[in-house]
Amino acid sequence: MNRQPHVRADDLTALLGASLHEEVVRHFERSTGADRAHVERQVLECLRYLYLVSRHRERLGGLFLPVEQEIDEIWHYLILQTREYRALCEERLPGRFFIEHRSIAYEEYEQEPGREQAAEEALRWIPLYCREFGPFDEGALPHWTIVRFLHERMEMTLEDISALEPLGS
Amino acid sequence: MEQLIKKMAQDTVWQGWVAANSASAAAKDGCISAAPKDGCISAAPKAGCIS
Repeated sequence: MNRQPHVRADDLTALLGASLHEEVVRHFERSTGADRAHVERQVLECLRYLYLVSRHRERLGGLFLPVEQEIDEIWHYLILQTREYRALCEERLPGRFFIEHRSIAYEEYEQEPGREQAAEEALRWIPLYCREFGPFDEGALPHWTIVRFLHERMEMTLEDISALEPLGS
Repeated sequence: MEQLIKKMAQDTVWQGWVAANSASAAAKDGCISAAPKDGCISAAPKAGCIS
């Protein structure tokens, strides 16, 4: 398979800017009591989520949040820094559009598409993530709900999960 | 992928998947109650918001 170069963690941090990145990390270290490495990984996965939505708007826009609540909180924090968030979305992320946010419970969300489509939508993130950032590792596992579910509840290895191909490919 | 989708759609697996997301969704609904902690009201002066 012809692989494009992966988007590196440093590249994503640079999109946010060193100053705002440090501010976000410090805020969540203070407010959650989590250690710095854990918070930095959460911020990285939040940026990866936003990057994917921006890069694959047609396929991923409007889908249920695939990451954990703590990462949603980081997203909320970024949204509140309105100028910087707008610049991140419209000037630095690849899609160059403002990424909207809307709260919705999963029970409400899954009524609309139905089970199989909702399952496909949850799985859709995986090959796109791996294509952009490389295979899932242990560090990403706690933050991506679908990956953790496949690993813990369906006993799939991270290698098997990362090898999933998009539907119809 | 197709087989995995069908497996996920089975009753017991699906219920587990909804539960995995509902835990998050419940906390997400708590965003309103978490707002004061984030400083939107009482902590706003501490956060030093600017336009």
